[in-house]
Amino acid sequence: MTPPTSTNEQRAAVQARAAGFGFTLPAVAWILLFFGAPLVIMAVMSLLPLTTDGSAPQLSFKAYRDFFAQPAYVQAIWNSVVTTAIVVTISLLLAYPFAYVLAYKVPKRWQRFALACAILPFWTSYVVRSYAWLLVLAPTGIVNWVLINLHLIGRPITLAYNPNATVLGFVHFFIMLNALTIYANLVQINPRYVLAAQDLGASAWRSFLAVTLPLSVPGIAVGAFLTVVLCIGDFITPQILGGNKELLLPQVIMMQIQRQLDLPMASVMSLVLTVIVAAVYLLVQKPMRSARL
Amino acid sequence: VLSGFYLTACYIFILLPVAVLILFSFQDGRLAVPPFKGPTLDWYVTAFSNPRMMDGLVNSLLVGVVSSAISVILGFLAAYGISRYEFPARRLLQGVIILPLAVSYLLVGMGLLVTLSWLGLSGHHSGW
Repeated sequence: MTPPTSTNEQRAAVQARAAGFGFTLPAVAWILLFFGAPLVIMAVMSLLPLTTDGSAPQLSFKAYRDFFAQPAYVQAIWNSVVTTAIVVTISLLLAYPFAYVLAYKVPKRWQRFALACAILPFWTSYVVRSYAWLLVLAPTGIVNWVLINLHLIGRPITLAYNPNATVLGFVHFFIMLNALTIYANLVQINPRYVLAAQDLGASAWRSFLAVTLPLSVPGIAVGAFLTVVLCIGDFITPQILGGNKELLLPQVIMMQIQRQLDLPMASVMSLVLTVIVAAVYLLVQKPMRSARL
Repeated sequence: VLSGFYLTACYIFILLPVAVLILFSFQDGRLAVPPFKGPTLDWYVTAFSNPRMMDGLVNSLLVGVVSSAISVILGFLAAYGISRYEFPARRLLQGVIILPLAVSYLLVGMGLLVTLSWLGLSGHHSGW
């Protein structure tokens, strides 16, 4: 009785399809409703610039032209891109050796504990972390207090309220994030590859460069991408630590929302931010795909 | 030795601000600046007896619990469907679900703000 079996199989396949859809649909619907649709509306809003005389807005690229014609805004993009590039570079350079030591030098049974300690500040929010850094860096903060009491400096030096403080606050957070992604990648690498390289006469340094480093590229790329996404879109850290001289794009966006009440302009800026992130994604998309051997 | 040194330096850097924050929450004095004048629970009493701060705490807890409950439920269902069943557009739907991870929270918030203001605006104009 072959035909009935095949229809049963067909029915089972149809049921499986329906079940798979059914389980996945609520999450997808939620995202389309509260993420997809708002983005579309935002894109439309960016084409409906405010009018000065209160007349109905006309469909135009005026908000885009205004945005790129304003040097302060273009400067904000530049500031954001440069800050993000610096943060990504420093946090990768600091996080990689940290993750490496954690994965290969720390005894296996201590690794979990060491990792938990390393990501402890993850439990706090941007606000709390930035405020904590203020306690450390402020003119009356710990660092200045220690330096003055050691008679290394006569009066407090300016550590907080400038772009360097923003970078420091960011690097602090993203060291943890990158250490996590790189560590997770490093422990997956089969140690035999390194042993094989060394059996073939490679020095420790050479086997690291030729084997371990290339195999850990996915971890680096994922960490770098998440760093870009979270760093370029963060408004809190620069707001608390950065002073108000060099504004980043998210700060300018918040100004549009809170002071200028210009949502079309804020939409344009948010879309510009998204385009930058998308460009970075295209750049790191290939190395992000895990190259497991 | 070198790696141990580096590890220690990293831990100091990572934990320093949090340690300072905790230490100075026990500061006996008006300002959270060094030197540390000795432990007191005064500020905890002050914070917990401040109604606005407590309202904020309750709101934060509420938002946190409700949003994580919803996302765990929806996320679990989606993960179950995607991992246990084969169906068309499975990869695509998986991509849609993880897409918000690749944009900053600012964009998510902006989208919702613009939408709500637009809804409010159109409601106002249609006389609701």
